[in-house]
Amino acid sequence: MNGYTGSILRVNLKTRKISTIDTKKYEMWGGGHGIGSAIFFDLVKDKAISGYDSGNVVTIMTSPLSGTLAPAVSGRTEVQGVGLQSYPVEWFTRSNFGGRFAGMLKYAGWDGIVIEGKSKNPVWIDIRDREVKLVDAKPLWGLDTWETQKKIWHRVTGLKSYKDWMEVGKSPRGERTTLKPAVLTIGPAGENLSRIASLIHDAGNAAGQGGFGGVWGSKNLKAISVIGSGSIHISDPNALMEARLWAKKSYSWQPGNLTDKLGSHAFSSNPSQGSPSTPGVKSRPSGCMACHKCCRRKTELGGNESSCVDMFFYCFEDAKKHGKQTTASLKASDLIQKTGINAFELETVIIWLKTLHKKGILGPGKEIDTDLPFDKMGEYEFVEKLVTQLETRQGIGADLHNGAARTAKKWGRFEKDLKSGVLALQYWGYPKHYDARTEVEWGYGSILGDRDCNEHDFMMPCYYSPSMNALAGMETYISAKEVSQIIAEKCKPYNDPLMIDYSDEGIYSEHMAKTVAWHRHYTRFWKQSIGYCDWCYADFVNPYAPGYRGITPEAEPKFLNAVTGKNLTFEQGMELGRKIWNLDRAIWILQGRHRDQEVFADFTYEKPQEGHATYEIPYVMTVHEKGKWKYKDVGGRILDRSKFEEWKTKYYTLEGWDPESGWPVRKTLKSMGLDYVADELHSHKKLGRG
Amino acid sequence: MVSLPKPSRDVALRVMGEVGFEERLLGVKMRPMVGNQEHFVYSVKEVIEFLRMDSVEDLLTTGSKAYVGYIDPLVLKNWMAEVIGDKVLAEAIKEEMERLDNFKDQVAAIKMLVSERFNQCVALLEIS
Repeated sequence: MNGYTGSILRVNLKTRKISTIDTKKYEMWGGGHGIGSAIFFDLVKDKAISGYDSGNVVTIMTSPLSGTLAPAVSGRTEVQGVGLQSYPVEWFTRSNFGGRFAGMLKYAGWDGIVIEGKSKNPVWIDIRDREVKLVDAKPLWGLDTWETQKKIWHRVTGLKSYKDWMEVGKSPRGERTTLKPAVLTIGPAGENLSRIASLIHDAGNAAGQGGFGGVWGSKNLKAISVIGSGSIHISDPNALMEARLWAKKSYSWQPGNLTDKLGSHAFSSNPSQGSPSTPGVKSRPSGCMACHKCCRRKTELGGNESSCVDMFFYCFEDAKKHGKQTTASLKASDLIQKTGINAFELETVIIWLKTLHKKGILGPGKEIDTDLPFDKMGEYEFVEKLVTQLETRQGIGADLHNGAARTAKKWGRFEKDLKSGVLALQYWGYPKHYDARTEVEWGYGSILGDRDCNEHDFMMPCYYSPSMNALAGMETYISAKEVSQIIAEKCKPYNDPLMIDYSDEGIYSEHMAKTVAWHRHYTRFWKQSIGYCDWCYADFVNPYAPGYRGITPEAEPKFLNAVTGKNLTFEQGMELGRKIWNLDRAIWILQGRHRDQEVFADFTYEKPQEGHATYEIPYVMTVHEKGKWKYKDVGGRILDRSKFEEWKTKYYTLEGWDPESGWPVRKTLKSMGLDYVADELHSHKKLGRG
Repeated sequence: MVSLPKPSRDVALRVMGEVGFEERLLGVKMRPMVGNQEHFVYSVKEVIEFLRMDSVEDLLTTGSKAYVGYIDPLVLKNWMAEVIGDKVLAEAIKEEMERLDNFKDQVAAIKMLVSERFNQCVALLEIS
């Protein structure tokens, strides 16, 4: 089994039984998400349970490429189970994090971990190669994620210095390593069952969306530590090395070859660009295992390994208070990583609280009583108090630990604040990311799934690059027509140039149904099962590449096949993605999903009254109008309810699902070898007709 | 850049003040990867701090390091006239909008203009 270790670790926290699952049984699903969904489907008989239920199963899966030299894929770990964050239903969901955990798990001899049951007392799992123990976590309970990791590192290594060799496990071969264990842990927020609690690994790798921190807390699982001394069988090491050099040379930034083409970057971005530099703060690049891009930084004053929203969520308030960004933002980043709180949700919560405070609804002695110091907004003091209340469920945190959607419901503000957009939760109670009214493939994919999809594949070439150039009065170096041609070439098996037509007609077309289907299938297999990082793939348009044609779809199977020795084509991977997407769909249906639920928050459909506080930003996208391609500002658009419903019918039909219910029909499931899934749906009277 | 005559004390007091919720102004932080996040702005000082557009190079090549602090120039012009009551500043913003043909140039000019007005008011009111 090249690329695989052959074993999946199975830990029952209730019975304390530790066993293994033969990876071969699930190898057909590829890895990561595919295997996770398949195991969840097999092990969880009642899929409609709460995320807090002890019967919930959490899978933590790697891929055949984890721990190898394949770029921007080696370090990703996929987490699945019934989540806590989505509203109104706790959907079966997923999250993902980077770092070195996946590789270390493989070096220890495991393709993944399956967590079942609930421990009577707090425990952590100690994995040293093939030796696995459940350890009392009472001494760790209450510690933040960084303190927890330090304690575990010291306990496992027993060393004062990491330069020394340590013996791993007690095998007769006496394997040794100088590495320290990779630890995935929860902080106090997870222990206190917050629905917006994260899993944290090292300083700033977080599985944030979904609320898996609270799921672990409900299981009394504090951490998993793994240290491995083994290696991974590679089918063709020379081909893997050549593929990496090919990717770096032909598709990536290198010293001395910076392009002047200001366009979309995915695989080609410069190193260490993911997090902001704060004036006067020294830093150096940091990245996940084997990544060529290294999008994060290590700094001397804070914000270590944080990037994206983890680093940004408090910057605006900080800069507003101080006239420039200060170390308050960096300290705030570290604080949420240490307590284990989801930054994306927290940013939305802060903006919402500020609005309610300004309206006179929230504050000391107000309708919503709180002692949060709004005069200290922008100072570290404010965010520290808010996070402390959240993690301990004290004060306003007694409500907010349930997330913004459930808090709004409790406060009687859900309908009005979502209608006005003051609380911009667009799909399943998740904060709006890119707008479903304009960049529709993002919104459609999210509402058809379980969470903010957070997949940037089309975002850069179709929206962000043309929009930024337009704001600066510059021409994008590549025309809308060329972008449509390149994406059509790359989006096998559809190969439809109209897939990126974001015009008022295009967003309700069969072409857009193909876009969403391609995106769902691509991400389910290539990104979430094989682990290709969202910040590098899909690489459609690449300013360094010949003809600006990015590394997708050549790279994805090239690396995979070099490692596994199989001959999987890109299209076969897409078909596997379709299969996984249908399996996930079946799980959601068993949780109660119906097409009637797949609607956005009201503000998505309703034109706000024009005013100083309600305009829409420019949203320049690729459109095809009157037979011609162009970039056009589609900002200010709202979705038409009836047209979106008609579009859903087109999409369901394309997927082979019953348009009336949105449920897959037997023929569709059977064609993918999912007869047993059809039987399960049929037994619950939830199989689509037709 | 347009030169502004000194404001009256009444205008200066309004420029230095903070408006209520119903009179708020929308600003949007446009960021790659992180998404576009809406913020409300309640004072002229906050407008100055919010308005920003990093270089296109940084916006397109540096992940989420760079961002645009977007306020619609026309909405801003109207807000200055109708809410803050500074019709002179509003007219000056309009002139910059007509003189410059893209947001990046406009935002730089408008930011300087509003900053100048803010500093005039500070001096007039002798605020340290």
